[in-house]
Amino acid sequence: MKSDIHYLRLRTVMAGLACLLLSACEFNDYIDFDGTKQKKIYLLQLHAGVKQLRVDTQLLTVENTTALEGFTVHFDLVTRQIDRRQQAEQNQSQLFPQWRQLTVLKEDLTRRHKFFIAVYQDCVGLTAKLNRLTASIDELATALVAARANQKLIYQVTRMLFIAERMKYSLAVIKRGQGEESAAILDRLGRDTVILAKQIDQARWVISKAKLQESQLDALLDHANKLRSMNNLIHVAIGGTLERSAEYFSYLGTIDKTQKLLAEVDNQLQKQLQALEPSARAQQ
Amino acid sequence: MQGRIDKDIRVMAVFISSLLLSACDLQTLTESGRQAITKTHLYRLSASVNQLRVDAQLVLEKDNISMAEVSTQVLAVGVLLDEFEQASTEKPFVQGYKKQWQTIAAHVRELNPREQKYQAFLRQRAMTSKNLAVLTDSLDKFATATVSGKISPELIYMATGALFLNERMQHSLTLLLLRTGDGALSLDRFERDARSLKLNLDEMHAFIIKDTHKKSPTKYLLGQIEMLRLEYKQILPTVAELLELAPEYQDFVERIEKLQELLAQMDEQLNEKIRSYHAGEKIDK
Repeated sequence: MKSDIHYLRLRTVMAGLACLLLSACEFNDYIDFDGTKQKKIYLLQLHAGVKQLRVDTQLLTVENTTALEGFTVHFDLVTRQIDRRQQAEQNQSQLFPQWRQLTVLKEDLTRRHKFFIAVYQDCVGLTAKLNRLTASIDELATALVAARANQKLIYQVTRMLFIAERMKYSLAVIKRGQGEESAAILDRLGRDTVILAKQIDQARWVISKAKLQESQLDALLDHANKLRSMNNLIHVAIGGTLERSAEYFSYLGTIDKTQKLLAEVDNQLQKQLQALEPSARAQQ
Repeated sequence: MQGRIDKDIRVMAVFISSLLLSACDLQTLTESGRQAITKTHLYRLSASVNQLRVDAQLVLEKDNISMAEVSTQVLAVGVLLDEFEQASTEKPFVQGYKKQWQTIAAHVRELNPREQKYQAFLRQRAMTSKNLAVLTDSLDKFATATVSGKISPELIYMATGALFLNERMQHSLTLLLLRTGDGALSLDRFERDARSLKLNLDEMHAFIIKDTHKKSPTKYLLGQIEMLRLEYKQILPTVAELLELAPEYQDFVERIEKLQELLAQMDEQLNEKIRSYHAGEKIDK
């Protein structure tokens, strides 16, 4: 009788054991038997980091002083994640060969970002100066028409408006940072300043020889001299912008390269993640 | 027999104790497993939201990404959120996030039908720009012709002014596309310049007619200005259509910018959550 009770207890214990084993099977979802789950988490973390960097790189061409800070912080975090994984896997080969290249590009971007900001601010300042110059040229043209001055002179002065407008447009395109297109436009901007200076000089010379009343002549010459000094200031400022332009365009080029490499790493990560999916592993 | 049974029970007791100890280990594993699942979802979400941020920018830059792809991505995030809600211990966070995501999904749904008009505007813009470039050549020839011969200074001023207006219209169109500064300002200026150019051409026409009986060069200019007016008249329907589509274009751009803003906020929320998960692990996102 007593032994029956013991066997009954034993059977109860066995049933409990079976229940526990069943629960353990459910726990299987949580337990990382072969380290795949951990690897997947690492890849997902890296993937999220790389996507974040792609957004940050897009923001780097916008006038935003905090964009570089965000990019640097995220880049360093992703780099640390890669290093940690490299150590964990004790793998001699590079996990992401592009990362070394990206690190060099990141250093370039950090160094040249100040040129981007400087050129952007140059463009804003120059546009304001050109707005004043355009208004002044228009005043001179109106005065020349009123004084019934020489036709060629009026034509020349009015053409100046056209050039000043083109310069403003060039600045807007450069400010937006459109790569090669901007480089060609910056060249044209430099040429336009020289053309404008020559045209102002010519206009001054023609005005000084014009058969006009003395008071009219003085007023027109004063106006032309004012234009000359305004253009000189613009010329000097554009000179500074041109000096910075090499670094500025390198910066834009570096952003392009960074975007391409990040897209490559992104694709690589996507493939690695797909390979870790249960269906892909079953096929292997 | 009794002794053997007692021995069996003792062995079983030891076995059950070790089983209980293992269950405790299992509990720890389960907890870290749950955290791992939450992290997995958070990283997936973060990657998807950032991909959407990249895509939204590319839609504006018409880089082979359409709103249809963005919509699919938004739906995919919705599915991810459902999975996350079922598997996570972070239910209040996921439910709050899902609610906010519905706003984004609604925003994207409203954007979808507007994309066609946006594309139509871009096509119309390209056509207008091409037409204006042709007009530049004609205006330039006319302005040069006004300098030769004894023509009134007013006409030279007007002709060069027309050239200037035409150039500025082209620039406004480019700036609109580059979205530098205020897009509305560029459009507004474009509209005013288009009207001024028409008035300018009419004025020059009237001026030349007035002068024709006096001077012979103006007869040539009369033919030229009539051709110019005709050329501009042909451009006008394209310009009108462009201006008609302009509000839709601006609306689309503003909505995309709003979407980017919302996505940035959603991304920040995820980042905060991820950071809180890593706070105790000395691992940063």
